[in-house]
Amino acid sequence: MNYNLEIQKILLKVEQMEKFSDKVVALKEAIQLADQHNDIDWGFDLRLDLIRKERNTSKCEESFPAFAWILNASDTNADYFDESDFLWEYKWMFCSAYRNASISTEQIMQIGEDLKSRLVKNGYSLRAYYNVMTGYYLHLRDYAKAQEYIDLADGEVIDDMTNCPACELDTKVEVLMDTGRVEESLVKAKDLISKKLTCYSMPFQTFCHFAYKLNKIGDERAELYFDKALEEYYAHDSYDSSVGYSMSQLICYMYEKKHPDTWEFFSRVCEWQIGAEDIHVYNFSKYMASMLKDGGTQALTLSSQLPYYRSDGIYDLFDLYTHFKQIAYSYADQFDRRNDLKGVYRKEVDEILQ
Amino acid sequence: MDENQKQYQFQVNMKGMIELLSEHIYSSPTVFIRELLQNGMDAVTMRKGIDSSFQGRIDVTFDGDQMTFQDNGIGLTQDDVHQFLSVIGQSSKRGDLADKDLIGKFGIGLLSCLVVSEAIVVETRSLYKEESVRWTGRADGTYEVEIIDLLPEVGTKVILKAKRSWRTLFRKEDVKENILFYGSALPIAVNLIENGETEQLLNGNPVWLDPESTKEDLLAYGKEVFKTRFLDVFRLESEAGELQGVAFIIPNKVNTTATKEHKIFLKRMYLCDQATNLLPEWTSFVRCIINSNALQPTASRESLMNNTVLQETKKELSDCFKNYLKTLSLTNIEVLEQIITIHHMFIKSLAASDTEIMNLFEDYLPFETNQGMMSFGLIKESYKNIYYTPSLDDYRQIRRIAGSQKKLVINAAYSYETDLIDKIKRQRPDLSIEKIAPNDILQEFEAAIVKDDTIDEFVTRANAILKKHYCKAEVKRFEPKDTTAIYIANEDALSSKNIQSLSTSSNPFASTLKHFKKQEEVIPTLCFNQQNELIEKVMVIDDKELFEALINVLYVQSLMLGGYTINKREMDTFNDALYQFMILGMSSFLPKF
Repeated sequence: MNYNLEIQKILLKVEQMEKFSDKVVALKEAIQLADQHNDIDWGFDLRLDLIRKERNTSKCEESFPAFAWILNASDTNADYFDESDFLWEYKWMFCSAYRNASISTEQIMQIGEDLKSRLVKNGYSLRAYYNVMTGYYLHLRDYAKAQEYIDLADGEVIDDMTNCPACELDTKVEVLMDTGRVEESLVKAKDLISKKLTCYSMPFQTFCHFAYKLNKIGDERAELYFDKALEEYYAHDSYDSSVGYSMSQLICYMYEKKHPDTWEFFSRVCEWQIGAEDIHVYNFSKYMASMLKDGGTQALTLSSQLPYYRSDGIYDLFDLYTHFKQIAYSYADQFDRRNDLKGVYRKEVDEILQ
Repeated sequence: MDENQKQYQFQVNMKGMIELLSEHIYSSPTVFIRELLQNGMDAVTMRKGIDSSFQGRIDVTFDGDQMTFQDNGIGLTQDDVHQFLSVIGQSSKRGDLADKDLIGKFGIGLLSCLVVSEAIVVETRSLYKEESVRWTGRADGTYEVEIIDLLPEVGTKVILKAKRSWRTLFRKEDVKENILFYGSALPIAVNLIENGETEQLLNGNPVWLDPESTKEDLLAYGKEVFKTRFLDVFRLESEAGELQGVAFIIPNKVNTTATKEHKIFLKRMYLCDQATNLLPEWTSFVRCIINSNALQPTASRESLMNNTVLQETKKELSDCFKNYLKTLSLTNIEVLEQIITIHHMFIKSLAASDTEIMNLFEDYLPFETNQGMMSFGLIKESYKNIYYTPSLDDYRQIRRIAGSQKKLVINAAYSYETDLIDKIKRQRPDLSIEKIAPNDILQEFEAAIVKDDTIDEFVTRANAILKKHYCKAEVKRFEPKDTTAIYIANEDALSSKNIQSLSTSSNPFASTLKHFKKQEEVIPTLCFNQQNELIEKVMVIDDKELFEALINVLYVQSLMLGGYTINKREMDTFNDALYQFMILGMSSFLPKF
């Protein structure tokens, strides 16, 4: 069969697949066919497609090499590809770079500078660059610097590369909430709360954050935002693993309130950790360890791919606590080392486990 | 209140309200039929609350562009008319009965009639009062109420005159179609009357809700409704959702992303054709007709509210599906096999998360293997050792090599497959099920016969050349003899090779890629066949340049044979080697000077 037809057949199969992880497997097969025939057009398009699909999972295993290939193909075939076609994906890749504990700060900065220069070269404002740098400084827990970048972003014009208004607002709201300015945060979030601004994961993520944080400080409004989060969750049929962070916060809240669906949610999100990005594994482990420290036993339907899978389906929660705690500290140390943070992440785990 | 302050009432623009209803809330102008049926049904339900033996009835009379919907329900008093027909947003459905048994809830239903008629005339006689009232409401927001001669029987008549553009909706055949669409499950007789002739449309006892209906009756009904000859049918029940219904098994493969059309009724009134969130994902191979008395509709009455009752109902429906499959395994293996053959993807998904289902259906589940599609029962019957691979790359390679090794390898690259195989492996320690990678097959090739240092030296020299291709050499004996070499790389090795070649590019990602290598040591292998005549000769060639050219050609040739990607550098190497061969070959034929 002509390889073009074979690729199109695979793409049809991809359309019919339900799970993003399956779509990634099938797209890799198509990419192999394109590469086998040195077809850089297919290679380019399929890799972009693969990155977009993997974006909906908690992993970034395939996207990095795929994006390196795209950049290389674009740079070595000057004027053949339009850089605007992949600058949006470039933003994701920058975020994935700092989410991987093995990639050095120097390398992250180099990627950031390259993104910045390509945005400028293609006539875009720096708002998109400031958007991703805000995320980076939030990752470093440097809220002052994050606010600086939020202000810089606000000073730039909006274009096709900037984060959507819902995501930009969620970031601002999150900074306020995380720095203890609760009332300000809730007021600022009004367009998210009223769903005037929405996107794929907003305001679900905002509501999860509010429910978790407000509950931590004993604010009764936590319940209101939990209900809203759950309403969003069910209204969207099934969120994918890209919202893993918010789901962890939601599960913690559910556990504390003895919600009947806690373990169903837990089982679902556990599966998302297989091959997930370092920061996702860190966050999930941190939140789950904090929740499971009381121990007990629980019947769970977990994937057999998980290291702690038990064929009898009965889990000792203290064993799970020990497992998650060890993982959380291990990643905390890696991030602290890489970010030169002198134990900020470790302290974060200490505090949540108290 | 301050003297200077006055209190005003909000004004509602009725015309705007009608537009809002017709263009934004209701998806079709035909919903007025649903609203009329609903009001009639609720009025009869309220009368039945007083006298349970009462026989309700709805008569629809046609007279040109005019249509009259008449029920023999509880009727309205003059006060009721002012209170409930004239205040938008206030439903007349009251008290415990309203929550439990009545369909309507929001008090905006009657307005939908103004989408198709300039005015609504309601003539009613209440069970509680010996008087009759006529209420006339218009699209401009005005209404009149008058006492009229006592109507001959208790109940309510709604008289509509079609707007010019909606006349077709008032034709008997169209009304009949819409009554059947919305109200086919209503427990009430509906009569259509035109030119003195009466046609009874509904008898209040639909086949799919009748416990006496046979499987054949249900399948015939399914065919009539969905125009499909279904494979089988089973009943659905949920206490939480006070739900009853039937599920028809689709007789052909189902696209997972295609819209799944069902028929969802709420308190026996048609609601929507989508059961989003109500049915588990793995039930995509059925079409359902369902009635629930406990689930809640959204304000537009066109979908279900996602709440805890719905979630509980979903769990109970999931159990119905499982029980059906379990029963089938005992009563009708033939149908079960047909279902699994067609819908194995969904059954596998269920089995991967449910050990009981997995144990029951293990033997019937089909898997893609290097010997074609085979049921697990046949696999375990025919092969002592069962191998599987969770990587598609690995499967493609193994498929090429394993045939000659007479091995059975299952492709477990996609969802549920790996989980399922892994579960079977844990549940069935008596079976030999092993994960396999291409390198494992390499290890099973016959070892090379070593007489002296020739092989060691060959491997060292070949490795020096293959290193630049991110590959290492090995020598074994395998069939067929005319195969010179096989290139073997598992998924991790191929990914490492890819990363290795991209690492040399100049973009800032290149230097980070090494962090994505899965295992530093896994590099692809070029396995030379000692049984091959050409390889025997290559091993003893001393000439450095000729040897390098031969190894390069054999390397690229094995990539081609294996269907691997050949990068530019490899292609250049191949071309250089061919050029050298041509020069060497020609040198014997050049004229001697």
